[in-house]
Amino acid sequence: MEREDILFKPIDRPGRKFYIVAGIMSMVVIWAFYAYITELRNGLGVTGLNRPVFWGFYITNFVFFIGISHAGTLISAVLRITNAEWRKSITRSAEVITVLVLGIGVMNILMDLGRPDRVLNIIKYGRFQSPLVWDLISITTYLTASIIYLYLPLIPDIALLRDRVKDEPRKWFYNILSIGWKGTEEQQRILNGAIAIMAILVIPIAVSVHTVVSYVFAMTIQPMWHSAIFGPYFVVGAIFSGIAAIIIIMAIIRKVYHLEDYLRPVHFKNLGILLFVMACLWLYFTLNEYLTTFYAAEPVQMKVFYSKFTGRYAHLFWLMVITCFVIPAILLVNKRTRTISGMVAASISITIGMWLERFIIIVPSLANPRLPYERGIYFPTWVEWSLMAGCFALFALMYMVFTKLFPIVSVWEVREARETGLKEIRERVKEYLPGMEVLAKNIMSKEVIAVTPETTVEEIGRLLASHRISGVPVIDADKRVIGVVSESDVIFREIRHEFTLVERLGNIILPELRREGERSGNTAGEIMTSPAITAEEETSLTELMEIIREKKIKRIVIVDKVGRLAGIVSRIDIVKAIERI
Amino acid sequence: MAKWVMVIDLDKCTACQACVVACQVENNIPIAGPDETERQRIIRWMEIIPFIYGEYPDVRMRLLPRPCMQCDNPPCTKVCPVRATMLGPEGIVAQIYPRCIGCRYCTSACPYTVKYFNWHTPSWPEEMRNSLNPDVSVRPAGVVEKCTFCIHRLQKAREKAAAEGRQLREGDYIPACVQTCPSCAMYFGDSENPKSIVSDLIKSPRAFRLLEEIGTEPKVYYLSEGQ
Amino acid sequence: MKRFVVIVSIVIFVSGCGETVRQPIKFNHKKHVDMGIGCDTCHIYVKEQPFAGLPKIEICLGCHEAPITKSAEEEKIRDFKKRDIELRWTKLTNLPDYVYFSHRRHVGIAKLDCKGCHGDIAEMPVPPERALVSLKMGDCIDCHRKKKAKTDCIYCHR
Repeated sequence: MEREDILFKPIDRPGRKFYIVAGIMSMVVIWAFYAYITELRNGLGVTGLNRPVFWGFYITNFVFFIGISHAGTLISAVLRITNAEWRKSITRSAEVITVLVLGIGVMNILMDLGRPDRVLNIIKYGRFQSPLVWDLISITTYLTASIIYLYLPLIPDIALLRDRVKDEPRKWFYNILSIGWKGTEEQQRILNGAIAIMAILVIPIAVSVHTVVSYVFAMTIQPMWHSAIFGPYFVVGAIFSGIAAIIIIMAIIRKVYHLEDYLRPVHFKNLGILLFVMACLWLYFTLNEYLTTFYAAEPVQMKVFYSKFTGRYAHLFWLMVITCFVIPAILLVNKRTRTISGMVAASISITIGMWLERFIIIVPSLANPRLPYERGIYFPTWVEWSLMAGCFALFALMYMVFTKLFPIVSVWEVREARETGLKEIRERVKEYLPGMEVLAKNIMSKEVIAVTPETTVEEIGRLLASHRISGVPVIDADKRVIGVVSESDVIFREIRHEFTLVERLGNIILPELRREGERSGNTAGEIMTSPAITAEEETSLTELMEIIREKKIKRIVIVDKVGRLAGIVSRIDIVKAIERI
Repeated sequence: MAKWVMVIDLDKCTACQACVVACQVENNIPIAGPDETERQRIIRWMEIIPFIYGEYPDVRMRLLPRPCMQCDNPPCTKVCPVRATMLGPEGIVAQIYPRCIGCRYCTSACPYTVKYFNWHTPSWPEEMRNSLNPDVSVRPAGVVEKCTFCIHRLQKAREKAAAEGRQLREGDYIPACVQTCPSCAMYFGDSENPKSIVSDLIKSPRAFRLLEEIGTEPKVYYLSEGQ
Repeated sequence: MKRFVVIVSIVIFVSGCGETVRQPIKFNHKKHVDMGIGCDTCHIYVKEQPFAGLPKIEICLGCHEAPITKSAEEEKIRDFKKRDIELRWTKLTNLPDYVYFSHRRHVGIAKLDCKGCHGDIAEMPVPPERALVSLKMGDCIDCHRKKKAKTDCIYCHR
């Protein structure tokens, strides 16, 4: 329990810095709120939008934040389904990102509407043929699924908190949220089932989300929007930026909440590999997109193309290429920079780059209409900058509030992994690798010193001492095992004979030994424990260990199919076997 | 059902912009002012756009009046999430202001960029307040608007014809821009009516439409010799 | 429960308190209609124009130049005239500005009854404080469907 205290620390005592940062973030949010009120009162004229650049920062932010949302739930679900053990301490922190940024993405659409008062028209009079309605359906489904998917694995932790906190309001809060979780086996079974179902469900939903977001653009006939690869291109970009966001946030909570024990370099390393794969995929899609456009060389498309490559948006375009691929590739490929701070730097670069990518997709196409109007120029105003800052601040604030209310690392899952993880992994590896199954015949000592029932006790004592062993099987003429004589059998016989006082003491201290001590005689047949606890050659290591634990014995005699002595597995053999694994 | 078509003879057009002004007045189009015009916020349902050909010193410019194309296959109506814009039965693309949520998806999807957004609450100089056309509504801030082929004139013309107990005649309904054109470069009528002037003109070898290749089937035809 | 009743009644009361209309003269629709005077006698544009028109004082004076009854309200007309004040009637039924509606179309051409949209205004002995029928878009559409008139958005919205 003590080592988990660090996970509860942000909830118990978040510290002064927490409140200072929360205060600053709240101030930014309030400022953004003021900017939004300004926009509401004066109309969208207070933004830098114009004709033909009807969409700017808000839609860029919308696509960006919805993209980030692919971080948590999608990655967590994929890792859960593929049983990647290392996920257990990072899933929670990733899933929270999803839920929060989805909400912020939707807020950006509201900011962009000319008539936010009529937003319910989308529900009242929605046209299913419009890609925006697809977005609405897909995003609300994803938001619902993500909230459930975040909440389900949170229940056991909420129950832990319910039992932990003392003050009444919080106890009441956690009590309601824990919906009667007691951790019974039945509850655990249902919970695991529900999580598994959700993990499978959220994957297609998540893919659909950014596909339909891309359709908003791809379904029009505007130059460089009308592209068949936009669906997968956006999904790849979304996962790309999502992983970057996870890395940044993990690094922050690792640092501020001292979770070095839980968020280890290996987590960053694994995510870093994923990040690099996505960077390559992103480059591949980008190349596809621009090369096909360039080669077909349609004049209207080329106007947009050149505005990105050499024209007004060239600096942003090339900055995007550098931040999305060049910088991350250098940092992630080089072994010396593949550290946590190197990966965080790569992630920050990618986050900036992917934001630019959204901007570079949206604005230049609008700014270069087909008819020869004046080219559109777009400069965001303070309102748009403020609202963007507000979005990021709101995200940070809500994330902080979450860490204040709930453990950001899944306590029960980590606990469970610690207890059963190793066994599960061994079982799993056994399923697909030969030779992993350790059997009695592989580890037993074959040269066994055995005795016959007629062997005298003195003889046995000599055997035990000279071979430094603790027991011998007793076999009949057919080599069938009929019993075992162990050190204690010999000792108890001795005690019985000469040290009645010690025996009496023994009776007091270890009463269960009396039965054995009472047995006496001069031959193996008289003092042996019979029948012997035996196991067959095909018995697995796990079963052997179980027998040893349950019967409290020191060795197991291994017999063949007809019960003849084949070998013996002592505790040292087991230790050696485990060492090999 | 009628199919309303506009024909603009570029060889007769002098680019005097009378159509632009007539449209502004007829349709209560707010006055943007110099600052907002600079920021490309001006609304002009009818606009003269310049096509420039050739390299210096052999530069030629062609000016082209551009209303809404009233496409038969409009890219803007396809994307509207709330059915605020749709193709009317007589081929006029409608914009329903009280339904519009101002998402500007249609403005972004229009390949001709003929849809306009009300960035501000519309305003007019005090002296012009009373000269607003009562047949056309004043659009609130935050909605999209566009050329309607002066459909309110169709409503009135049809009503007048009905009151007089006759069918709608050629010339009963023409938009303000067509009515104003001093060089008679603009024609308007029902292309389904084989006796109308426009049904002849659109068959002319001089006739072409803007961006025909993208399949939007506009109902604004241009006439021009050669280019 | 008691609190609930109070809140509900407050809500009903407040929502019921729309703007009430006060007319300059307590015009008795019923009396005029009973005497066989048609709506278009005073609302003179109802068959010719999109709007029906509210009567100017001259129209009233056409009959009420000299006293017909002993009503104090009737005396008001001549008093207004004497002081050269135009009658400022307040419209009961207001159309939003984005809706195109023509009385000529509905009354002059289609010969619809005023009652259909305006309710029993002809039966009112005093001017009502608010429109007797509150019309919604659905009411227009219902009627248009019934009479097989056009229901495309663009014919009414402008």
